[in-house]
Amino acid sequence: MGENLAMAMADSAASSAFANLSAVTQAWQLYVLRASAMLRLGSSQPSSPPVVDTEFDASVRVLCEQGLASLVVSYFLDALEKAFKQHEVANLWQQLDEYSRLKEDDADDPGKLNEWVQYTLPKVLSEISSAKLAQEESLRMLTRLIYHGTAGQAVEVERFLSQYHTAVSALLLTSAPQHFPEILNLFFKVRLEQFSKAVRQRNRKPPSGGPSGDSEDDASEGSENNNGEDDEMESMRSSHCTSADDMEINENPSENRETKQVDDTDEARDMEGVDFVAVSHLKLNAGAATMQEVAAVAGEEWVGGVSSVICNLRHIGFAALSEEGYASAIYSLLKAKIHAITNKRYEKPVLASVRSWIEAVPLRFLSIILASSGPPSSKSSSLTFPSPLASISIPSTGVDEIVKEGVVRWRLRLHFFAYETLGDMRINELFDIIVDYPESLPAIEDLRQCLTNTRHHAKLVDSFRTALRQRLLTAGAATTDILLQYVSTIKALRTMDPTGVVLEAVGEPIKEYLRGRKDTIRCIVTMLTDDTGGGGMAGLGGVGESLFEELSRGVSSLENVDSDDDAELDGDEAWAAAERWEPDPIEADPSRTSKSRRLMDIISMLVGIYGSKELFVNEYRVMLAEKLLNKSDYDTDRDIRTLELLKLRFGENNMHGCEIMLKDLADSKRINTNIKAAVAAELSQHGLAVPATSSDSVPLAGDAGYRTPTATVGLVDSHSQATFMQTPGSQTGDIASADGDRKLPLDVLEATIISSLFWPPFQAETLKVPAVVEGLLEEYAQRFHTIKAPRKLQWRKNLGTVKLELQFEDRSAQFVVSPMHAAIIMHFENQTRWTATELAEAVGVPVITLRRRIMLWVNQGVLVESHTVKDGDTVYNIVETMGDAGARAGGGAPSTDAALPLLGDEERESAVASMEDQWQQEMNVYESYVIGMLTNFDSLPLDRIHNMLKMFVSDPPYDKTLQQLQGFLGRLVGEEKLEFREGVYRRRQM
Amino acid sequence: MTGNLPQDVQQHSSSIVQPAAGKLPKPASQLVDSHSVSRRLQSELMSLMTCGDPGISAFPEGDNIFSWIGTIKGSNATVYEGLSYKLTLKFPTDYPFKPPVVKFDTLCFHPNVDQFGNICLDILQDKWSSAYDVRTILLSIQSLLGEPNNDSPLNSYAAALWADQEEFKKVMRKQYRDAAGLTR
Repeated sequence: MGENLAMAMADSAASSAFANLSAVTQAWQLYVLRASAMLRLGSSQPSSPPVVDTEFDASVRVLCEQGLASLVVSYFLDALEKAFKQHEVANLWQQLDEYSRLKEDDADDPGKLNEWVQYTLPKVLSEISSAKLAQEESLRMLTRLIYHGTAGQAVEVERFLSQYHTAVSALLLTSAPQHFPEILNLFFKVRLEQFSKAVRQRNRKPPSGGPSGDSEDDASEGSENNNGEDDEMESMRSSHCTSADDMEINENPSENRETKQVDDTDEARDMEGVDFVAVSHLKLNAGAATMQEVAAVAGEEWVGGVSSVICNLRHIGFAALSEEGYASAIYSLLKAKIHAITNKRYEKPVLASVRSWIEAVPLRFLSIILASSGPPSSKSSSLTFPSPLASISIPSTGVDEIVKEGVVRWRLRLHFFAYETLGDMRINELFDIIVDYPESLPAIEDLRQCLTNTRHHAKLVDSFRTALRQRLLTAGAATTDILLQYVSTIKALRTMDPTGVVLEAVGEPIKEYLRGRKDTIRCIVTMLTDDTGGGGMAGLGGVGESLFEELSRGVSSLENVDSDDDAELDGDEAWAAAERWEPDPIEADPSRTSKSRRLMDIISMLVGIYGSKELFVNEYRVMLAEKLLNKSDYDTDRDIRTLELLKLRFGENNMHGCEIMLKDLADSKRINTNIKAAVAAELSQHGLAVPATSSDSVPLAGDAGYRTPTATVGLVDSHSQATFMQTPGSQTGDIASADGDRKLPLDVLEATIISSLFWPPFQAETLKVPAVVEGLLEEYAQRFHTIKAPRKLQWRKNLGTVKLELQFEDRSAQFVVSPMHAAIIMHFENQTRWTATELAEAVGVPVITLRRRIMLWVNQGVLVESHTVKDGDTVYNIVETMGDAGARAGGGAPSTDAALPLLGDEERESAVASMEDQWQQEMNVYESYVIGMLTNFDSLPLDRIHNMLKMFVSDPPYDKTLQQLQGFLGRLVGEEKLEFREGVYRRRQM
Repeated sequence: MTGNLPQDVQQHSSSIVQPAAGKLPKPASQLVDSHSVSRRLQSELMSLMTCGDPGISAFPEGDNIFSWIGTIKGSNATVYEGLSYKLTLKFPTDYPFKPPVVKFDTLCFHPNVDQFGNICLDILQDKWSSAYDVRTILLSIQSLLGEPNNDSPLNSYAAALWADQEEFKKVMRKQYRDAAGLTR
C-alpha cells in the first residue's frame, strides 16, 4: 500500500506544492490508523453506533482535498473486507463447524442436532448480520464524510454499499462450508414441521361451528390434543420411536419424527382436517394478514424466529441459498406427506386434501418467508411481471403484492410437484390399484388429474406394461385372473383416459398373451354367462356377475352406436359434430381410428381378443350343451335370459342353435311328464301303489347291500328326420329284490331329449348298462315312441348323471356319478370281486378306460384295488366294512342327500367335443388344400399359402388369419407332414 | 430311331391337338359367365382336395383359377411306378362345355404323349363331356400311363418299345432322369 500511495501521490500531487507531501503522508498514516481502530471497535461492539472521530474526519478531509477520495474509499473497503473475513466469517464458520461433529456423534439422536441448529443458526446469523450492519454504517459514514454536500452523495453511498455487499457475499459464498446448505435445510425443515404441527393441532380443536358433530372425530381429537399440547411429551415420544419407518427421502436423519409417529389415519385426517381451515384462510395469501394468521397459529416467537433468519440470510447475501433451503424442506415435507397419506391406500381421494394442505401449510409458511424477504432488490424486477401462469393477475405494487405474486408462483410450483409425486407413486402402484378396482376408483381419479397436469402417459404405459409382464402375464397366473385384471384394467383406464389411447397401448400385451392361452375363450364365456353372483366358482362370482351385468348393459349402447353410424346427419347436426371433433392425442397409434377406440365396450374388447365372434358363439354352444346335459332338473330360466342377452349382442342367427337346445330341454320336460303321467295312470288303474322314491329302500340280501338307483342315459333316435337324444336327469330310486327279478319303476328315469343336429358333436363312447336299467330305458323309449310316433329314442348311454345310494353292511352312502361309474359299481352287486378285464368286458369299455374310471370308487373307499400274482391283472374288491378300507374312506362318504357334488367330474372328459377339437376339424379341411398345393408347387411361403387359401377355398370360406394359419402349418410340421426351410413350406418327402 | 421322333410328333400334334386348340378361343356361344365357371372350378378343387385320391393332385396356379398345375404319380405295378409327373391344365372360359387343354410339363416317355407334352386322349378331345372333371381327367391320364393306346401313338418309338417292358422302362427312366437333371 505504501508504494501505491507513493505512486498515487506522485500522480495526483505532482502539480501541488511539494510542501504538501508531508502533510498528505501524515494524514494518510493517521487515516489508516484510525480506520483500523474503528473497524476493530466496530467488530467487538457490533451494536454501538460508529464513533465520530475528529482526527479521522480531518485526515479524510485532507486526503480528499488532495484528490485521493477514491483511494480512501477503496482502502476502506479493503480493510472492511479483511476485517470481516478475519473476524466475522471465521467466527461464523467456526460456530457452525460444530454441526458436522454433532451430526456424526448424534446420528441416532437427531433431536439434539435439531436443537443445536435451532439455537445456533439464528444466533450466528444475527451476529454476522449485525456485524455487517455496523460495517455498512461505518462505510456510510465515511462516504458521507467524503462526499458531504455534493450532489451525488446518495448515489455514491449506494454505489459503495453495493460494492461492499458484493464483496461480502462473495466472501461468504466462497468460504461457506459444505454443510451450510444442509444446516439451512435442516433449519427450515424443522421450522416447517413445527408449523405443520401447529396447524394440525389448531385444526384438531374444532372451531365453533366446525365439524363437531362428528363424534368419532371428537373422540380421537381429544386424545390427540393431549399429545399435541404437551411439547415435552412430544419430544419424548419422538426420541423413543424407531427409525424403521423413516419415509422421508432426505438423507438427513434428523427430521422431526412427529409426522411418522402419528399413524396413517391421523395423517389422513390431518390432511382432511385442513380443509375447513384452509377454506377460511384462503384469502390470506398476502403478507400482513397472513403474518397475523400464521402468528396466531404458530406463535409470535416462531414467526419472529423465522423471519429474522430469513432477513439475516438475505442481508448477508444468502438469499439464493436460503431459498434453496426452504424449497427443499418444503418439497421433502410435501413428499413425505403425500407418501404417508397415500401409501397403499386407494379408497380415498387424496389430491384435494393435498391441495388444501399445500394451501394451509407450505404456502402460509412461504408467505412468511416471502414477506420477511421484503422487497428483494434482485428479485423485484422479475416479480414486476406477474407469472403468466398465475390465475389471478395482481398489480405488482407494494410488498403485499410481491408476496402475493410469490405465493401464486409457489402455489403453482407446489401443485405441480404434488401432481408429479403423487402421479409417480400411483403410476408405480397402478397394478395394485387396478387389482383393487373398483374400490380404488378415488386413486384412479387422482391419477387422472395428475396425468392431466404432468402428461406422463408414456411413463404410465411403460411402467404398467412392465408390471403386467412381471406380475400378470406369467405361466403361474390363472387365465381367469388375467381376464379379471384385464376387465378391471379396461374399466380403470377408461375412467382415467377417455380417449382410450393408454388402454390401447397397455391392453395389447395382455391380448397378445391371452391369445396364446387355450382356455381363454372358455373363461370368457364362463364369466360372461355366469350370473350366479357370489356362488359358483370361487373368486369368479363377483366379477362374473359384473361381466354379466355388462352384457345386459352393453346392449343399449350398442344399438345407439349403430344408429349413430348409419343415420344421415342433417346439416346442423353434422356441423355440430364437426365442431365437437377433437384430434387424437399425440400418443395415439395413428393406424387405428379414434372411433374404434372409443366405441368398444368391455365385452367387445374381450371378444376382440380373438377378433371373431364365431369362436365365442361356438364355445358358448359347447358350454351350454354341457351345462344342459348335466342338469338334473329342467330349469333353464337363467340360461334363457343369458341367451336372450347374447342374442342381442351377437345376433339372432348365430344363437339359433342354442335356442333350439334350450327348447329341447323344455320339450323334454313336457314329454317326461307325459310319460310319467301315463305310467301313473296305468298303475292306478291296476291298483298298484307307486313305490315312493328314496324313502323305501329295501336292503338287499347278501353281504353287498347297496342300492343302485337309476342310471340315466342319453339317447338319440335317428328315425325319420328328427334326431332325438336324451340324457338322463338324476334320479333317486331303489332297486329292490335281490334275486335279479328287480324292476325299476319308470319314475326314476328322467330323460333329456335333444335334437342332435343342433347340438355340438358328442364324444362317442360305448357303454353297456346293466340289464335292469336297459329294460327301463327300453320301456321309456317305447312310451316315447307311442307319444311321438314316428320318432324313436336313441339313447346316449354314456351321458347324464346317476344318483345312487350304496348300502354296505355298516354304512350307506349317496353319490351322484356318471352313468359309467354307476354301471361299474352295479356289477359289484352280485359279485364282489372282478378283474379289470372281466369288468371291462361287462361294462363294454376298453380296460384302460375302465381302470381310469374305477379309480373314483377306489378313492371313495368303496372298492380296493389289488393285483393277482398269476397274470398281473388288476382285481377289484368291494369294501364291505369301513374297517377293511382302513382310514382311506376319508371319513366316510356323505350320507346327507343335500347338494351332492357330481363326483368324478374332474376326470371325465367333457361330453361334448371341445372348441379346440372343432377348430382342429375345421382346419383339417385346409390341410388337404395345403397338401394339394404343396404337391403341385414343391414349396410355398406362408403368405402365398394364405392367399391361395383365401382365393380358392370357398365352402366354408377361409377366414383364418395369417397367424392362425402359421400355427396350423406349424402343427403340420410337428406332425412331420410338412417341413419348413428357408422361409418356405414343402411336403416332407416320405 | 429317335431322329424321326419329332416329325411324328409334329404330325400328330397338328392333326389332333390343333382342332381342340382351335375351338378354345372361340367365345362361348352358351354365354357362360366366367363367374359360374370359376365357381365350378372351385367346387372341383374342393372335391379334389377332399376326396384324397392317392397319386393325383392339382391346384390352381397363382391367382388364376383357369390355369392349374397337376401332379400324377405313376401307378403301382406299372413301369411308371414311383415317378411323378407335372401337368398343366388350362381351362377355357366355356368350361365345362369344352375340355381343358392338358399337357405334360415333365417330359414323359409314353406312346400317347409327344415330346412337347401333348396328350392323345379321347376324353380330352372328341369324347369330352361336361360330366368329366379335373379328377376324372387326372385319373384317366394316370391310367393311360399304365395302359397306352398303341394304335394311335404320338410317340411311335415308345409305342414300338412298349412290348419290351424292360427296355421301355430303361429308356423311359433314362429320359426321366435326364429331364429331371435338365430342369433342376
